[in-house]
Amino acid sequence: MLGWLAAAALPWLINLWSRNRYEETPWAAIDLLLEALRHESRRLRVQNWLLLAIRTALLAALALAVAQPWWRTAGAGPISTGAVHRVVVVDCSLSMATASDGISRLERAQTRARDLIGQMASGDAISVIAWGADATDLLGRPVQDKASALTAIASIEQQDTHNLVAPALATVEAALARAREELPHVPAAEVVWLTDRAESTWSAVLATDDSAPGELAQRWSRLCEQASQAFPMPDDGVLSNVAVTDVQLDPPLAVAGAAASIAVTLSHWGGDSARDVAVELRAGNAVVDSRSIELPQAEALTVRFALDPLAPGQHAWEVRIVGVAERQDGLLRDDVRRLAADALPRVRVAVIADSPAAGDDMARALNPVGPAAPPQTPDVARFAMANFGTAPLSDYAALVLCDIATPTPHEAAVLRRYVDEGGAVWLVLGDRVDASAYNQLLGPDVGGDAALLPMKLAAASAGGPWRLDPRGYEHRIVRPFEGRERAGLAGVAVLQYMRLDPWNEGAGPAAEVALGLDNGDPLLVLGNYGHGRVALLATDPALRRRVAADSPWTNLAISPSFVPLVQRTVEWLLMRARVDQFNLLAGEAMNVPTGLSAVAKWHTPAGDFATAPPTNTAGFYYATSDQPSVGAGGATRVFAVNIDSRESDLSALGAELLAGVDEQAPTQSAPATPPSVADSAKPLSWLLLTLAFALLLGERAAVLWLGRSSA
Amino acid sequence: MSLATAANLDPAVVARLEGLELRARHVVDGYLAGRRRSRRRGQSVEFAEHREYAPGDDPRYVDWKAFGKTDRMYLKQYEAETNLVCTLAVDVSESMRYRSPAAALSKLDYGACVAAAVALLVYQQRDSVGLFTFDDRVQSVVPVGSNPNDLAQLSQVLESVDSARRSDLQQAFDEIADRQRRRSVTVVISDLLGDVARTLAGLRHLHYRRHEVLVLQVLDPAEVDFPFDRATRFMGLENLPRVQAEPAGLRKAYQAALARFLEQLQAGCRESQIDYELCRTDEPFDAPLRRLLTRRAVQGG
Repeated sequence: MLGWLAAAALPWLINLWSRNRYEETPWAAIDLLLEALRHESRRLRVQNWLLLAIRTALLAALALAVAQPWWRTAGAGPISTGAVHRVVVVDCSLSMATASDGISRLERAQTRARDLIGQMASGDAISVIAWGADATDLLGRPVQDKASALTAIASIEQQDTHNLVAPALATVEAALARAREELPHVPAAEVVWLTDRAESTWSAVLATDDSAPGELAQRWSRLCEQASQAFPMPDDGVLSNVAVTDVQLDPPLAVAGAAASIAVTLSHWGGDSARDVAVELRAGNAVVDSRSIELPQAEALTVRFALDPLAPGQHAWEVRIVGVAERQDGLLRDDVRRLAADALPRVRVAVIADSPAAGDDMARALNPVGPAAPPQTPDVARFAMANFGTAPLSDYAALVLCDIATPTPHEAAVLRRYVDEGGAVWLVLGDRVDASAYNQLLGPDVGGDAALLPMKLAAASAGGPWRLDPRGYEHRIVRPFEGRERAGLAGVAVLQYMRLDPWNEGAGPAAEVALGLDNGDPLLVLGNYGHGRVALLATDPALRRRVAADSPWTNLAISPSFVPLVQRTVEWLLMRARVDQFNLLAGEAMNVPTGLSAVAKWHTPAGDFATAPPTNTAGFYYATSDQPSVGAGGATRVFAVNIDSRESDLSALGAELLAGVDEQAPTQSAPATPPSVADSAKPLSWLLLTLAFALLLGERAAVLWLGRSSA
Repeated sequence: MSLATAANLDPAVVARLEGLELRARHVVDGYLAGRRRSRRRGQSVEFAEHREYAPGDDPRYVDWKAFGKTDRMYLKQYEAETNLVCTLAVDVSESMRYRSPAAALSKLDYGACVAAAVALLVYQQRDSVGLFTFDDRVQSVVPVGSNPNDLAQLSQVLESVDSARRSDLQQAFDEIADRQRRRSVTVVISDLLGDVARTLAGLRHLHYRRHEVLVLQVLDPAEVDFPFDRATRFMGLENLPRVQAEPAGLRKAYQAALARFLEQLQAGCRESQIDYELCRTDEPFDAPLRRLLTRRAVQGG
């Protein structure tokens, strides 16, 4: 478009051309003519330059007007040429399903995106990014083809995921970098966020006054330096919402023949109390149970449904809210939540120790009652490490290795395979443990295999006592102890422990510290490996020592919290393979169990797939295999995919807050956010056309005036 | 002035006539008819004949005695003395050949026509007329004579001009001054384009030789009005350089330069008591003739 500026050279070309367009006439009074020329040469030169300048400015103004430039109002430079690379980020996460007047936020965003594409001027480029749990550049590169962009916009589908800012920032930065590389002639860049600005998402980029900006806030500031940010979608005013935010089986591990219940958490944001809210529990298409409750404003409420003793095999339940007024329930997709579980026979756990003293306390904690224990209590088997290679490990859901000195390489390989296929291993570290051998055999493999150990074993520490630090009771294992400190973890003292250090970044799994010491060191650490889970207890709870004179490392075994802590830890270890991989949040990767590798077809709410499907849509997912058994459920395995209810809270941040986010960030390098071309910029074409018209009149006036003054 | 008389004096009409002699007679007839005065109101005292009075005639010349006898009014007409010698000096340089599209005659044709008309008038007064044509020097000469038949020779000389040379007025006037043996009324017909100082020096030389000098500067209307609007390449005549210009922007300056040039000429002529007249080639012929002859009458020459 700016090529039209070349038209400004037209007067010069005409001037040069016209030099060869003289009429010829004989003339006698040459001397008089020469005298006049001498007299007038300076004035004529000035006049010619003046007219040339006016005509050049006239054509330049017309060319700029055709290019549709914009005036940026806040410090981003005087005039852009109008050629803009616009990155349109369309939020398709859960909250974008919120509807008003029968139109969802996503549909409004797509309409706005189509408008932006329609307004593209010649020379503009556009990238389209669909933003759910992940962010995908749908076109792969900036394009100037409106049809492709419109097709990409139309392909964006509603997801039940929660927005993550980090992948969006990465994808936008990549799109901007590609445009700078491929379209160096497009100087301006703008990111148009077609989002409802959910507070749960965007608060991550805000830095509070009393804290340093987080990594996301810093990345946001850097993005604001690269391009202007626009949030053109207005608030629709919908804030009230009712949702099923959690459904849990109690106890979490379903055991065949055991009684269980389902705990349903309901939440209500905004608006008045919702009366006569019906909550239905469904199994298949049948309503198993229902309740009518009053859901107070801005509160969460738990409703419990008792279940009959479970039959062995797969179970799938669905909890649904019905009967809530539309004005109180802005988002309908979060009114339902699903649960999938396998009811298995009693859990078998192997306690492996090389001395009876080492495993007694753990075995007793796992099953304090003995064979007469109820079905939820594990069936404990004990054997020595010497029998590890011959024991049928697949018979056991979990292995507890108590103060094992050094596993052989073969044992280490067996352990890795066992966990990878969904098994659970708990390593209890005592004075026999050879830390370096553990690290070598169960740490990061030279072949690139990740570490089985969630943390690296360091030297043993003595000199306590140290007290337990539940770390805010954040982890699910220790959460029940909150408020019960005197009967729980408060009385535990640790005299010796093995210090655990994080692996180098990327070498091991992300470790979860469920319990620590008051000196800051971790004590109970968990990590995932393959389809299974691994726990490390950094102290040995055994009260009887191999050497009688040795002091126990801790009094944990005589604490009232020991039995529930051990049982919840084993439960947590088993949940990954038996519960978590069948119950996912939308957007999470499907961790297909090893036994399902022969699945022939996936049937999901988003359609049928031949391979592991994306989980962007909530609902039941069914894996069907030609083989007679793919787990406890037989030929078909059911998965429950639920929404991440963080976006059920429809609170939004103001666009102005995000536009000025970098002003709040205490970084010195963050400049003012460039204003949006779409919203803060003003069209300059009318001004340039007015200028061109004025120059046209001025040129005529100058010609007349100069002609008259020289006539 | 009747339409026929006006047409006689219109350069556009005169231009259609073939032959300078015919043009001169045409002009003189128009001029005399328009004056409605005696053809030969000379300063001689020798009576020639009576003519019936016509409205517009000077009543001083009414023959009151004849009126008393015949009750009719006659004018007394006298034979003019033939002691007037008129020398015509006509510029035939290349610049005199210029004719703009708006003009019917070139400056040379116009000047030659005026010269022939003057000669005819002088012949008709039975005075003597001679002719010089010149550019940078005298090109041809018609000796002074009073025989009206000499008009044909004079016309032939003016018509056969074949000069495309550059003018040098001082040199030419010096030569004319040197060649004239008798005092005369010297009528210079030229565009006088050239160095003013040298032109005036030549005219003063003529005046110094006691010639009574009348200068008729002939210019084309384009040379006065400078009517050009489009970019023009002016091809200098008389080997002068070419000049490219945007005339619209130059008009005012050109006309100022022309005014200064004419003012210098007129001032120089005034100082040397030289009669000066400017005429454009689109003017009717009676204008320059009247101005020349009226001036002569007023000065009692």
